[in-house]
Amino acid sequence: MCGRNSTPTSPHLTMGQRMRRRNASAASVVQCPLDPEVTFVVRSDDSTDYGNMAIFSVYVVNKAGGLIYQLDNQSPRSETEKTFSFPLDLVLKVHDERVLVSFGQRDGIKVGHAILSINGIDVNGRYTAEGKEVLEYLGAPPPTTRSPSALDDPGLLPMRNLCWPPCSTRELFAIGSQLSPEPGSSGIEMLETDTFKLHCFQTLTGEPASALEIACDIPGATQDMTLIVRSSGPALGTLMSAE
Amino acid sequence: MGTCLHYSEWNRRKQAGISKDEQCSFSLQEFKLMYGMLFSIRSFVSKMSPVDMKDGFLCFQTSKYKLHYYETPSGLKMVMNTDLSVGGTRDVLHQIYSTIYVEYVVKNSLCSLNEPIQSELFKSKLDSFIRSLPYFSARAG
Repeated sequence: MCGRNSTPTSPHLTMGQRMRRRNASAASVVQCPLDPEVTFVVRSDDSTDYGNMAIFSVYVVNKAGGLIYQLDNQSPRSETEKTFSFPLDLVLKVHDERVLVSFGQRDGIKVGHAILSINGIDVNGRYTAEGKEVLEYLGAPPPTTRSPSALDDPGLLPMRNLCWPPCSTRELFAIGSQLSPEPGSSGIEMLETDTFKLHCFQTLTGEPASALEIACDIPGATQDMTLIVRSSGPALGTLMSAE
Repeated sequence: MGTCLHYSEWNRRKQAGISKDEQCSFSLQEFKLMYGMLFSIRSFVSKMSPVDMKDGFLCFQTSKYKLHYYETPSGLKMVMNTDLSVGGTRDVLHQIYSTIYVEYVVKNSLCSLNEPIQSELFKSKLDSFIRSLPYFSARAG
C-alpha cells in the first residue's frame, strides 16, 4: 500500500456531518451517515431554551410516495478531520454509493461516517474528484479517506437517495395504524429519537396534490410543532393545487 | 432473530384484524409486522438523523396510541404500547429488563434464551410490575 505513488503517506480524514465545503482544504473529510434529511423550522413554547431548538428539514411527500418538496433548514453536521498513516486503522465499506466507516471508531470518527475528502480532494460517492475509486485509492481493505458523497451537492445527488426516506416514511408510517391496539388509529404522527423528533401530518383528502406528508426534525419539539405543521399542511396543499 | 419471546396485553381493545385465532388477539403475523416495522424504523431513523445517534429510536405515537421502544446492547428489543398521555418510559422498560427479564429468565437455567419465555414466574412478575405502574389504567380490569 505504501508503495503506491498516488497514495498519500499520511492521509488526512475528516469525518462527521457538515455542510459541504466548497474549497476543501488539506485534509480529507468524512461525512456522517446523514442522508437527505428533512428539515423544517418550528418554535415551541414549551422549551425555555430556544437555542437548542431548530427545524432541520421539511419534506412534502405526495400520495404515491414521491418526494415533491424538500427544505433543508439547518444542518448541524459534524465533521472530523484526521491524518492517518498506513495501514489505516479504519475499516471502510461501500454503502449506498458512499464509502462509510464500518469499523474503527476513534477521535470523533464514528461508524457510519462517510469519507468527504482525501487530502483536500473531494470525494463524490465512491470516487474521488479525480475519478479514482476511493477504496482502491486508499488500499483496498483498510481505506483511509473519504469525501462527502453527492449528498451535499444537489446536482449530483442521486434521486434514489433523495427520495427514499420520505418514501419509506409513507409506507412505514402506515404500518403504525395496522399494529394499533386501539381501533381507528391513524398512522404515525410523531416519532421520537434521542437526536430528533419527526412530525408527520397526513392530509385526509384523496386528491393527489394535497395528499401531503410533512415531516420535521426538531430536537425538543413540543405539541406546538404539530400545530404548526398541521396549519401549514392545507396551505401547502392549496399552493400545490393552485399550480 | 425476530422471535417474539413474550407478549402480553392489558386493556387492549382492538383485536388484530389479521388473526384468525379467536383465542388470542395477537398473531404471528402481527409479530412479524412489528419486527419488520421496528427494523425499518431503526434504519430509517439512523439515516435521517442530523447528528450521530446514541440510543436511537425511542418512541412514536399515532392518534390513538404510543409505542415505546427500548433495545439492550445485546439486541433484545422491548416494546410497550401505551396511551398517548404516558411520558418517557425508557427507565420503565429498562427496569423490566434488569429486574424482571434478567432476574427471572436469564438467571433461570430452565429458561433457554432466544425462545419464547415459558416461565410463569416471569409472566406473573411482569404482570404485577405493569399493574403497579402509576399510569396503568384499570379500565379493562
